[in-house]
Amino acid sequence: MNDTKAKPPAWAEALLQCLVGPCDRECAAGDLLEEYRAAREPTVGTLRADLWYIKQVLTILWRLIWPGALTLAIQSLFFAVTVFRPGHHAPHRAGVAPPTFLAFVFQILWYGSIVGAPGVSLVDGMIYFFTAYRGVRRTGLIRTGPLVAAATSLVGFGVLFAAAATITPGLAMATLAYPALFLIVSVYLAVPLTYSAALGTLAGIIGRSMHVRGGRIARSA
Amino acid sequence: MTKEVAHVGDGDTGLVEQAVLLAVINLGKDAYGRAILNEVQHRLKRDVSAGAVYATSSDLKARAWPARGSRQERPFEEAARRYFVVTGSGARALNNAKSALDSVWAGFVWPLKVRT
Repeated sequence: MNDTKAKPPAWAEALLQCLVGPCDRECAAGDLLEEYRAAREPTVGTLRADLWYIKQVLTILWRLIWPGALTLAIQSLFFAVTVFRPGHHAPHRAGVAPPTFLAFVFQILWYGSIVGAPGVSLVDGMIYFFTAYRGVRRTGLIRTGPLVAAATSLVGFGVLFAAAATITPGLAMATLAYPALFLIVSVYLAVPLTYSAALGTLAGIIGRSMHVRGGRIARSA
Repeated sequence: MTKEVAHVGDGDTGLVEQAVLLAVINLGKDAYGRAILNEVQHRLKRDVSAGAVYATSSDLKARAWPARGSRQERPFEEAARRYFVVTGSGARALNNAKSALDSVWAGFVWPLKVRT
């Protein structure tokens, strides 16, 4: 029997509205809600039904971000292996001549960062931008851009942190034991999230204008 | 009660896409999102996420020509259902996929028994 009052988490419903195209927006939400009310919530209870709904929405999100997220994850693994390997220390630079301009550009492009934080290089920026653009072209919503870009960034950072914690377990434990370290890690997360959201918004504006222009061309054809 | 129908087109069809198309055919006039998802899970004999089905449906609709009509209201729900039918080109794509699979398996008996 349907419980017409049962509802999945509002944030998950709102997230779903940002992830599907205009033709699917009403129907996908209705389909999942119908399954939630008719089959899930009455049989497994509210908590597990909510988890099922969240999982479905996250799979739709993953379908949008997986190329960029996978690329970023591989890059993060490579970064973690090179930086966090046991015995690795940053070279002492006293008395060393500053890098040339070309070396500086190469550092930024390859996985260097303009600032000392992971996830904010030009390569990362390109990944965020094109992942966001692809998502916005599908949904036609500007807000999809920052959402998808930030999710991609979160995946990359998560992989980086997990890899670093695996290679250097003491680092993960120290993060939990010392509030100052936890704060530093939070800043290291906030910086790429903000960077990705900003690029995602830009991609969203451009993608939305292309989406509208494509619709006008289709209607005039 | 009224219904909007979207047509599902053809193209290279992977396993999930084939399952979605076959689910649409099997369900007939009842082929809407939730029913398609359940039917695909039944056919593939495993849990299939909504993301896989809606991504497939979106890709297939990109090659489709939505028919004008109106929507069928759901019982107890606010959002209308969107029904699908498979076009002739979609059926041809399924036939091609089956033919290719039969060609690959020609001369073999299923299930395979391999000496180790």
